Amino acid sequence: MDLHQLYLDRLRQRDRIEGNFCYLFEAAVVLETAQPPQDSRDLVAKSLREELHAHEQEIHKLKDIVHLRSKDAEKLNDEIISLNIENSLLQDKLTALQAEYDKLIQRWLAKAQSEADAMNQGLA
Amino acid sequence: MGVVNELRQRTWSGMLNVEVVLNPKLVVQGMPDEQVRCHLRIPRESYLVLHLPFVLNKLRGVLRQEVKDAFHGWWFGMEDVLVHWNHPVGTLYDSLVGLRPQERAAQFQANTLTMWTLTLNYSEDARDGSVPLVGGMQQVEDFWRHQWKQACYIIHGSSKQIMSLSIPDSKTFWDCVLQRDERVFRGIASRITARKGGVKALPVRIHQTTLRELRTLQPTVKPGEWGGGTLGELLRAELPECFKNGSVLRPVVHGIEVSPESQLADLYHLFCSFDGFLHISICSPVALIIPTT
Repeated sequence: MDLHQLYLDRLRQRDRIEGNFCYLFEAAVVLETAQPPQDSRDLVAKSLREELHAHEQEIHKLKDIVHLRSKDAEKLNDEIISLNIENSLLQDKLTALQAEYDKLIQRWLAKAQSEADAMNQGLA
Repeated sequence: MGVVNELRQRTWSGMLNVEVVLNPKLVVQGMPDEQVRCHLRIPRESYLVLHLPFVLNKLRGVLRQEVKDAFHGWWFGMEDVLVHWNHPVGTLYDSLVGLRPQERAAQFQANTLTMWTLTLNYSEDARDGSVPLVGGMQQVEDFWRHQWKQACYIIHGSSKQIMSLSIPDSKTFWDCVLQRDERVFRGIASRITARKGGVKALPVRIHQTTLRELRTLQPTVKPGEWGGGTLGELLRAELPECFKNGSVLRPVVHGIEVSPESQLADLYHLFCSFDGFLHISICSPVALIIPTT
């Protein structure tokens, strides 16, 4: 069969298939832009939409603030944990130094006692 | 009417049943299902975005947001895949649904409804890989003219034929696309595409669909470069990977399967699209399902 005739038959077939139930579909029209609001209901809907948009923006802004604050809280929590760790380490160090100090005092007292005893013996 | 004339007339007048559904994020909660969708008949030979204002007029009542610009930020999607606005509607449909015309015809019954379902989305930022639409209808017109300049340059080696159109003719040319005036459109288009002694090259675009994207190739098509200059030879040269394992490609143009034996020059003459290019859709073996109900 001639290719042109074959293609024409196929195009007719295509139009038959794609045109089936076409009456259920409205022919699209080319418009320059969306039509502005026309009646009072449209105007009310427009102002409600704008209000909704403003509220959504407010919610978005507040969500951002909450997000930022949670980040801050997280950071402060981390800082508390690290300071606690540092505190317990310093506490350990203090305890060790205290023990060493006590030990040195004991030794010094013992030494002073032994020196006093030696002096007393010399005098006697 | 001659066979060629009817062929070209049907090519121009092909229409698609399209269902546009709003993305649920854009809709006021609790809206009935039938309120968030509209059913349109859109010419295959047009751009989807040309109908955006009309669609938005239909659906604006259930939108959560006010429509400030009927073009900027709005985009069509199909199964979460972006549908580019800068290709003809028919080509996008054939490519994205993985159309197999012969199978569709075999399955067709009197109660079969063929319908393309698209989702209408909105995002402030441009989608990856899409041409941002910031200049409204004027940008679409400019884009379309650039397509013709490209096509003209490919055919003649210069864009003189389109650049030298008078201002009224140039304006009428675009108006024909909007008002669907085939006769005047063909008259002006033939002045741009006709060339004595044969064309230098042919403006052809091949759209290859894979599972998640649409790849577009624009080969340099010089008639006679592959012997007879047939479609099959072009496809073998441009898409050799598709012929591995003895696969058979079924090229689709304007919703019909065309023979690989067809001469490219003849195909261009018959099926040249409204943007001056011949668009060929190639569906990969893993094609999407044809949405018929």
